[in-house]
Amino acid sequence: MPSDTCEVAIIGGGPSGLAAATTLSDYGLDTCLIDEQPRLGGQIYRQPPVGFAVQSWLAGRVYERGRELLERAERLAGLRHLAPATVWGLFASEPGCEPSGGHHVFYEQAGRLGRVSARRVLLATGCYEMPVPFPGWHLPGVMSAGGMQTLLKSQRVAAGGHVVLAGSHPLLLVAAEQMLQAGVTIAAVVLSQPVTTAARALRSPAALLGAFGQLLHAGHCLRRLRRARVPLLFGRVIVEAVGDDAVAAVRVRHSDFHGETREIACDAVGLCYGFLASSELARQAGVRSAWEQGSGWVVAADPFMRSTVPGVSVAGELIGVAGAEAATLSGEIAALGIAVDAGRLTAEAASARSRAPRRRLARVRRFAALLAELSGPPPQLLSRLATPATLVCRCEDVTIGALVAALRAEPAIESASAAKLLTRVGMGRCQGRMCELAVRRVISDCRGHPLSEVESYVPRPPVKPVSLAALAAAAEVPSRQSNVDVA
Amino acid sequence: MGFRVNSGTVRPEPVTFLHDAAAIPGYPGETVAAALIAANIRGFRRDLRGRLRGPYCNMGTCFECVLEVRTDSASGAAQDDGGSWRTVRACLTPIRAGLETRSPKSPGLEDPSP
Repeated sequence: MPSDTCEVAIIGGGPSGLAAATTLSDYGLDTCLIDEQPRLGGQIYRQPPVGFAVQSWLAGRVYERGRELLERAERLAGLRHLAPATVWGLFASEPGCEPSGGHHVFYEQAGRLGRVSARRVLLATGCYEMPVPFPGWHLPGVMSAGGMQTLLKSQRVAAGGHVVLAGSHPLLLVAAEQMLQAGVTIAAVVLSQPVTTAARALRSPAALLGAFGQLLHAGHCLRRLRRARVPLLFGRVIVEAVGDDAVAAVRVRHSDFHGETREIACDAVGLCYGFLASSELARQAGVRSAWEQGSGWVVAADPFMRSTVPGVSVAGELIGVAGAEAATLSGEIAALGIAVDAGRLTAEAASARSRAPRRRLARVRRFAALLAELSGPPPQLLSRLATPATLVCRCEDVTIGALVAALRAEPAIESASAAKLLTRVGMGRCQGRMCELAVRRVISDCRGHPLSEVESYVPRPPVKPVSLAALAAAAEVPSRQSNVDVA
Repeated sequence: MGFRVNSGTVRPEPVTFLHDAAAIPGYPGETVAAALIAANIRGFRRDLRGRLRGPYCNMGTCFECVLEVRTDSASGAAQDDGGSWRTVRACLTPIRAGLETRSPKSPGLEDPSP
């Protein structure tokens, strides 16, 4: 099994990972960045494949800083970039073993396992769109809006010719505008908020002050969509996606479920109801975390982004979903903390250098909290969208009805893990990422416990599937066992 | 249906790969998921009840787009359905000339629960 050592291992090549890598290079720390995508950038700055040239890639002022950050990171001479590789486990090194007080990062690459051992690890694993089950959401052609957007901006492929975008997040407006530019017919943009809430977000003082370029950008996209006469349906939700082998139409209703249902023909649907931190690896490593509405399982961190596990820092969406700028700032701050721990920077110098990014981060996060309030769907809506026949666990094909029946039959089930044992929810390849929130919400509704108190699936290694063949090929007998008789 | 956006895009020389034994056009570096969507193939696999499923997140999180790639195609030894295949996420797998992919055999299909 290939194994390598470095001083700092960064998991994730998005804004926070890139910012941390560039900051760490200022202090001469030997750094290895591991990422699942072949090229740096994460999802927000996801690059076209090598050999492609895309004229409009990340065009516009809103992406200016991102482009600069990416260019700077790609020029770093000392940065080792291990990609595409999927990290599936993080294990503390044993006492007295190298790396002292550090971790072993296990990954899979092209069907083979490998290991990077590092004194310090920074987890910058980002987020994913909050999965919201509704009837027909398993049909081919129904995607996350972000997935559709990366397909277009990086691969230059439109997911469909007649697209409906739906949910509650301003990203939908940005994605719709980009698809419109690319020649896609936008059949409708369906937003669960009434028009007054949307207008409030776009006219909020923070937006006007330019505290959040992304939202101004969304407002700009909204105007362009209006000009192109794209149907913008406020206060509406998709209650069902229909089709045989792929989505052919969606059924749309008032968000309060009153009035008539209207059918809109389409060949692809993009959804975005907000985001959840991708903190599975951090939680597998044992960090303390707590449930936060609008961000998912958020990792507890000190002012320099150190988690409760020694040697493991976190940055970006893991400390609360707040977008690319916040991720960049927290990545820089986390790197300063790591430089202090590595003895390359004094605590005084670190607090001086972190003052400006810290101040900016506080502002951006305050605004992100406001945005989350305006762009998140009301929880009751999400509970109503899922009917008994709706798939909750897409991997194991478990319906909401089957889950509810199990909860009624077994009053002792109060956590996602317990539900998993009985119904197989969360047991599939995605390791519960797609169903956990919905499962916990059903438990919360059935038991009358607040959602924040319903426990998650226990995050265990491998946090992403590894084949037995890869494990068998990598199996090695540790040297300390070589003297032990096998009884 | 899905399509390639050509304005403002320069791609390398096209190649073909095999998916379920059919030749699919694409460009080196493009993902299998993107090339299949552009070829109007929406369902990549069947679930435990036999329903088609396709890509959802396009970033390696949902595992909806899993399919299998042939790992011994270079040898040319296997003529039939045999040979060795590896499960991958189509959204993270770049295409190249001669790549062979197939929809996974659904382990649950022998006993589909109603």
